[in-house]
Amino acid sequence: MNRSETNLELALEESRRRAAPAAADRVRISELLRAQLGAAVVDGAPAPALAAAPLRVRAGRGGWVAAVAGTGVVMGTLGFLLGYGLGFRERSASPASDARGATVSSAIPPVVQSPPSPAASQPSLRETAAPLASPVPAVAAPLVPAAAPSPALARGERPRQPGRAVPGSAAGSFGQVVERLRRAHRALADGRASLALLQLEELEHFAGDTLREEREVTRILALCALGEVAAARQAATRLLASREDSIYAHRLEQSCARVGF
Amino acid sequence: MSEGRLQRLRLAPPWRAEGDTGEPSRAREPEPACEPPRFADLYREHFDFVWRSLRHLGVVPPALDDAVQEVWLIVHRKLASFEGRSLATTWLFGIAVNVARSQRRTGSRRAFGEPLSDELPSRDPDPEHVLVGRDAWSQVQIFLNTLSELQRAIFVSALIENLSSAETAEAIGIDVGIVYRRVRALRRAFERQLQQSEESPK
Repeated sequence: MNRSETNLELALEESRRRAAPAAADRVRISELLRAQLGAAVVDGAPAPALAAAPLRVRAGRGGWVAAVAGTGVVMGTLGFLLGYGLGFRERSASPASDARGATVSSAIPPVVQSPPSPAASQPSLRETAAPLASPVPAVAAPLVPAAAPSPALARGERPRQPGRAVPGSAAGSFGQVVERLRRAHRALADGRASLALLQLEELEHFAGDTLREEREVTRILALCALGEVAAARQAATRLLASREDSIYAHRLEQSCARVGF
Repeated sequence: MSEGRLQRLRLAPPWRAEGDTGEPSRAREPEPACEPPRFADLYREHFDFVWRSLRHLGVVPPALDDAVQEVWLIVHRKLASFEGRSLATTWLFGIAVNVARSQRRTGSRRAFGEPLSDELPSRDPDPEHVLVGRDAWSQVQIFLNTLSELQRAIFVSALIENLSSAETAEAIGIDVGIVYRRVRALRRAFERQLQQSEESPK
């Protein structure tokens, strides 16, 4: 190996060393991913909260009532705050867009109307990925198959269909759906519509009907941002056909998905 | 939107021509498909690789955490469709390239492709070595920032991460012959830069 080849190899090796993550980087990212994907995925070691409890636990009737009440409060305030959601500008990626290069001002449907928390005011994905403070077990689809069948299956009960929310764990799942939907909003507001779509797809696995309309509107806006006008319009038409009185109709009308409604 | 269309949006590299199926010419016969690897195993074994690749592909520290997360979220989402016909590193690098590109396009508010700070912690306490290492590091950064997106991806894959030309071609979605030629040219150009740097008065 001549001198110049040696220098090249040394420089490349130094670059590999300098660009390598520190141990703290791995720990930090692992925590963030664990919060998003669930335990037992990132490093093979289950997180304490999930290791101690089954993935889905039927809560008492009180939990269900609290969840319904919480949903009512949120939904009741949605209409009031509709015009004050996060703003973002659709990309003019669509050749079919009527904007023809101009951006269309729109807004993402707010997920939950609560006093702004420190986490809510932070724009970065990594800053919003902290696990929920609630110790309620995660209801995300298990990412690693369980070693033993659930008691319900052992009793011969019909397994729940994926995508169906578990009523008993609704309090926990609602908080998680809100949190994840908020992340999708943030990704969309940050111009990362593909990531927003991915997060919405993940939500499909466990959110059931929770905030379905909000999720669908967010998905439509993400499709608009990606220039997928036809798909956005199709989804908007479907949504408005099933929800004629949707509080998001005006919002959709202002997006690329407007179809003359 | 069909899943196929969505996948292309996420994964199609910008230099792939319209109508190109994205199937690179392969220098070897594909190996038979096998069981997809476990996410936890991939994560444990290739976390550093993904981090380094994104860093060298120009994702700056403020955006690095998000980019790394995005890669692993995509991996998690797509793992079932990974057939094991290519190396995991090939697959991961392809995803990293597209995430880095996406960051550059949508995250123009953030500085992209800035050289790394010289103040990054060195893992070598020897001051003389630190100086040499800092210079070598700077040279790589300077060179990377002169490259196009495609050239940068090839340089990082083939020269920094030592993926083979066939793997680089597959990860990036170009012909393996192009990779061979580009790697040779890039290597020569970088050697020239290092030589000039050595000869120039300090």
